[in-house]
Amino acid sequence: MADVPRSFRLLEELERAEKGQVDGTISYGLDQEDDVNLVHWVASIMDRNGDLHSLKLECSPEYPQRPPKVYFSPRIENKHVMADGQVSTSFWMIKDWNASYSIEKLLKAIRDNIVLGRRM
Amino acid sequence: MALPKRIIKETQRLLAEPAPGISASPSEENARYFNVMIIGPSTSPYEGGVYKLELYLPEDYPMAAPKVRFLTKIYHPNIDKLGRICLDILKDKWSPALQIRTVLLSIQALLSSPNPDDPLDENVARQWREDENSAINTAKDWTRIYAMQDN
Repeated sequence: MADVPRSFRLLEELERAEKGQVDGTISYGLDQEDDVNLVHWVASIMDRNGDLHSLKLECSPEYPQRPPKVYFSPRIENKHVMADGQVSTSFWMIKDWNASYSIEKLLKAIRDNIVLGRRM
Repeated sequence: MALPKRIIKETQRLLAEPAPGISASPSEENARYFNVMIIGPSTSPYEGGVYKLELYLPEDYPMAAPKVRFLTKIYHPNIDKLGRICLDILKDKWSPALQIRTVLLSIQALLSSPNPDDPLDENVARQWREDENSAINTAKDWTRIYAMQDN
């Protein structure tokens, strides 16, 4: 596979979200619409009761080789969520991150295994 | 993975015979990723500016269009705040007969003829339609602030 540069990879991910092509229980986008470096993102995940949990994500210059940092804001109580709200490297998808994953896949895994508490 | 002959040819020609006001050179790490500079056309609000862009030839190029965006901030109704460009040949009007060179020439032409009736940035386009003179002045200000530094 050709090596897609970080910026075009993230623009593709953004476009999917803008066009509503992602799963309806999650959403994400840039925190600031003029963040040309595509670093700071906001997201939400819907739980069983229809309540929304807000998250912040940070994509480093090494994305997608390295996973984004993800924070619950406000924090939720879970063994994989640290005191500052960050999803810890003990969470399987962050621990075993692979460049073929994406913001969408990471949010889905967090929804399934942390917010909905399904077994990993 | 070997680089297709077509990409090698196009790259050689871009370097040997650059189009006026345009330069494009492949990055050392990725031969499908180009650093591009376009000089703001004279008699456009972008005159005197030097614009940096990035261009990537996807896996299925030339069946699919190159991906291009501005890295230098620019006030233009068909270019959004992330530098994404609204241009038909980058989307549904792409044809494998087009090349990197034709794409960059079209982007240069877009700078000379903004099209507020097919906008990507609705706020910029509205100002362009309602008060063209003040829109052009804003575009000139942005050129001075963002496209003339260190050049």
